[in-house]
Amino acid sequence: MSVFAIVSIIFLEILTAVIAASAAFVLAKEHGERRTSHLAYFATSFAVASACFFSLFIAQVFAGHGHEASAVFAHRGSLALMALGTFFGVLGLVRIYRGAKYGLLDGLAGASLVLSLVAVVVVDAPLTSVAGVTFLFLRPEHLIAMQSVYILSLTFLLALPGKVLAQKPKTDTPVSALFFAAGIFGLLFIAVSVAGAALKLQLAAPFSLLAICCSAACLITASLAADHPDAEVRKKPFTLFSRSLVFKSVGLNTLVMWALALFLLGLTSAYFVSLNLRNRETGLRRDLLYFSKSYAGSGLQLLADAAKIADSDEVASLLAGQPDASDLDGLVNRTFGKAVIGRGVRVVGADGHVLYSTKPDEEGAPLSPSRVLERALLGTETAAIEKDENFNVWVLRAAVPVRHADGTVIAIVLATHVDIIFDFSDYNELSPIEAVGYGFVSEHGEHVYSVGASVDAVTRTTLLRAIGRFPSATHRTDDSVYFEQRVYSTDGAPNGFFYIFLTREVLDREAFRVIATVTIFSVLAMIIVNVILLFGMSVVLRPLRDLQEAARRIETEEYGKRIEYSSPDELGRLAAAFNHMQDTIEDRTVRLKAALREQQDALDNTMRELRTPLSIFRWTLEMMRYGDTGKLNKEQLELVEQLHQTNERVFRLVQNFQDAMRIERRRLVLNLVETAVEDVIDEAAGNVAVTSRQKNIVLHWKRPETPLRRAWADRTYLLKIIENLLSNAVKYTGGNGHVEVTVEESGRSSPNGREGKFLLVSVEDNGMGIPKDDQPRVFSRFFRGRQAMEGDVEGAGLGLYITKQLVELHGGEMWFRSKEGVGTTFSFTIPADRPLPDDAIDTPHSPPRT
Amino acid sequence: MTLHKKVGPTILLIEDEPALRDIFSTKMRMEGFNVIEAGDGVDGLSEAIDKLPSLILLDVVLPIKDGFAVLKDLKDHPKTKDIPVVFLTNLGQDFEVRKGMSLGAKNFLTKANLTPATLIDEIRKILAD
Repeated sequence: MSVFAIVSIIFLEILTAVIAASAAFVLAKEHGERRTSHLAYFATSFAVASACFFSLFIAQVFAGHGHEASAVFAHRGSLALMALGTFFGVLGLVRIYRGAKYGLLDGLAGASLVLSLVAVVVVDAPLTSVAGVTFLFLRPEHLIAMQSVYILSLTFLLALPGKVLAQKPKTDTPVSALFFAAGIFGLLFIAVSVAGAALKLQLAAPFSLLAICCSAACLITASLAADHPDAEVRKKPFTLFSRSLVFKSVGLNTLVMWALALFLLGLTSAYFVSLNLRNRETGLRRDLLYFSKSYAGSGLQLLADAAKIADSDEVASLLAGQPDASDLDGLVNRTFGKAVIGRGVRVVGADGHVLYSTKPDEEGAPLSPSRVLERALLGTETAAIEKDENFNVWVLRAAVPVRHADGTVIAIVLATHVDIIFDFSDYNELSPIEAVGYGFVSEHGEHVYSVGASVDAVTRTTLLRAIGRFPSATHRTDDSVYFEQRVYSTDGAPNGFFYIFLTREVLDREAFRVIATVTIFSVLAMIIVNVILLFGMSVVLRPLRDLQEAARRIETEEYGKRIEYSSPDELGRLAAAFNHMQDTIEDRTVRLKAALREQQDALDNTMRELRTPLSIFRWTLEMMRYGDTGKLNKEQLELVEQLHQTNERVFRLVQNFQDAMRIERRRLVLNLVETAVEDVIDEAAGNVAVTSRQKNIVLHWKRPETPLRRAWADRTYLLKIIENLLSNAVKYTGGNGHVEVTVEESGRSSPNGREGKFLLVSVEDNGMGIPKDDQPRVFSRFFRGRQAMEGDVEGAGLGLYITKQLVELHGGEMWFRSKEGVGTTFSFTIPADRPLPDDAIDTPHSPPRT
Repeated sequence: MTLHKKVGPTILLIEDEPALRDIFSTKMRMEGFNVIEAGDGVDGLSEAIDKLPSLILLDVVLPIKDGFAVLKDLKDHPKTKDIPVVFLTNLGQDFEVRKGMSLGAKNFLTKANLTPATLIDEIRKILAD
């Protein structure tokens, strides 16, 4: 469980750092292209956040190697970086929702940053281990102070987008929803972290990091999509990713690889950690064995030395009553050599009195009780560890009986080893003892000796109980593991035990070091593979970019460039097909254009040729009308009149048609002069006056009292425009209806149009109106209302299509409002501003200046 | 310019409503004018060219050919271009009047406000010029 926790924490820390770094890179690139301020802020924020998580990881590595001070420094650094990164994030967020000016919210963020940084430097926080990974132990009030910017950013993440989401109508909500989600994930991160710390849940840490990863993902997407020039992206932010083939292919690969990496990492880490632990245990047991063997060796050695002394002539002569101290001293020196400093020898009589001692003042005095001595008195030579009651030290004693020729014990040679026999520093140089501490405990649970961390009386008793009667044991507690090895005196009696122990903390640090190393290498490998993949895919997919470029060029009719990509794979075939298609399009377009021009020329010619016969008709009819060809009777005159009117209609039709052709071929040139629109309306109204009277339609046109400002228009065409609208209104209004014409000055070209000085003319009727289905097609070329009046031979005159073109050529706009059965209002504007010298010529429908 | 002088000056009345035509022509004949009547624009134009009256009273709303068209033709033809024309009509709106006057009419009289007496006065006034 713990290994999994450690692995996932480290993995997520590194993953978050890598994601943040990539995000910073992508955002910086976008900023380079779009130059939007919030992108710069978010890029910085993510770069700093990446550094924060790296610093966190470094801190844990330091702790893992025991450098506590550096670890604390790096932890503080990571918290400071988090505050800084969050600060930049807040700045970016405020830019998106409140615009570019700096205000109160930024000041608030700055103040929180200062507070956080001060808290990070000042607050005293020790290290603590969570699931085997070290973090700083922060009390709630410290946490709030140090992370005040982060808490502020969460507030902003929930409030600013939340306000947008709550509004109606909703605009750009997906982006705000993403920001909101980032805030929610951030809250989740805090909640899980706090709960984990309070309840000491091991899995809390990886889940909280997961929450932060999700929050980061939402933030990255949202910050890229906010204010994006492409509306599609603003509506569906995730299309940013689905739009890129490279991202999709690399993304899928990456996802699978990282998941696999995490899985393998978990497996290998678990394996390595358990291997490491086993090795540790084996090593420690070996150390213990060495200790006990070493101890046993010392005991035997001392016994042998004592025996040598016991058998010596010097002792014999001492016992025979011829004491020669110097001889015995010499023997002792010779026996022990250089080690004599840590040795003591006594010869004790069978009555217990010291007959000789290397310490002269002891001679004659009785000896303190010693089990070894007693055993020897009973005839068995023994060596064992004992406590010297006089000096309250633990010593190694060996006692060898000296027998009389008949076998009775007449004296004991007692050798004492007072040196530290538990000093294994020489061994430590050969093979370091990697333990928290080791030591020796007596059979009564007394502390004899210890190196490193000591164990208290309670633990010693526990250990004693744990080992029981066995030669060795392993005792595990919540936070430590003890290995015990019993030693025996030479007569086989239990004589205390060695212990050597590790704490959980040390083991966890071990585990962390192993996992960290494995992780770093895995992650490095992953990153290299990803970069290679990314690079490779971009290269492979480059032809697609060429394809896109070429497709765009077709639009502007640059057919020259072919796609250079001749590989036999799918892209190569696509490129070949594209080139072929490009040729076909070019060919076809050229031919179509030629054909169209031919047709237009033919029409032009036809129209032109029609004018002559029409003129002939006109003159002939005029002569007949005036009686120049002789007196005609009434019926004849009427017929001639009809012919004349019909001819005039055809004439007008041809003229209109030619005008329409000229507009279509962009060859219409307007002669713009200052025109009083009222005059033109007068004339137009006069022209339809009779028709409207005949249909009993009242035509309202009241000329304004004060003259309006003049429009810049071509009078002829302006007249045509107004006449067209008026005759339509009259035509599509039933008997007893009314048509009203109004003109006024306006500040805009249309209700939502551009600003300027315009004249606005409206023609309102209460006729049949335009059905809703037809309304979108009103200005299209061949539109004729489905409910056109019966007997309407003439057609829609110039047609609304051409009328609109004419209005727009002038620089105005045309629109209408209609309700079926109620009536219609057509409106248009004509500029009153003096046109700039280029205006009349460079409008989209005018031919270019030659 | 009058080329014929019969009982009195000749007036051509072009009006499509028979009742109205009757009233006006009777009154004018009582005052000693010679009246020619026409019921539509075609007839009216032909009579004008033929008879060359001293004054033409012209309605606007006429069948086949409306008053404006008739006036335009009258002014186009050399023989008739100098004959004074007065519109007698129900059209009264500014733009209609302006159209008529711009075509060359001498006056524009609204039938609604007209009494036979006023009409005679107008005629005499114009003939006096």
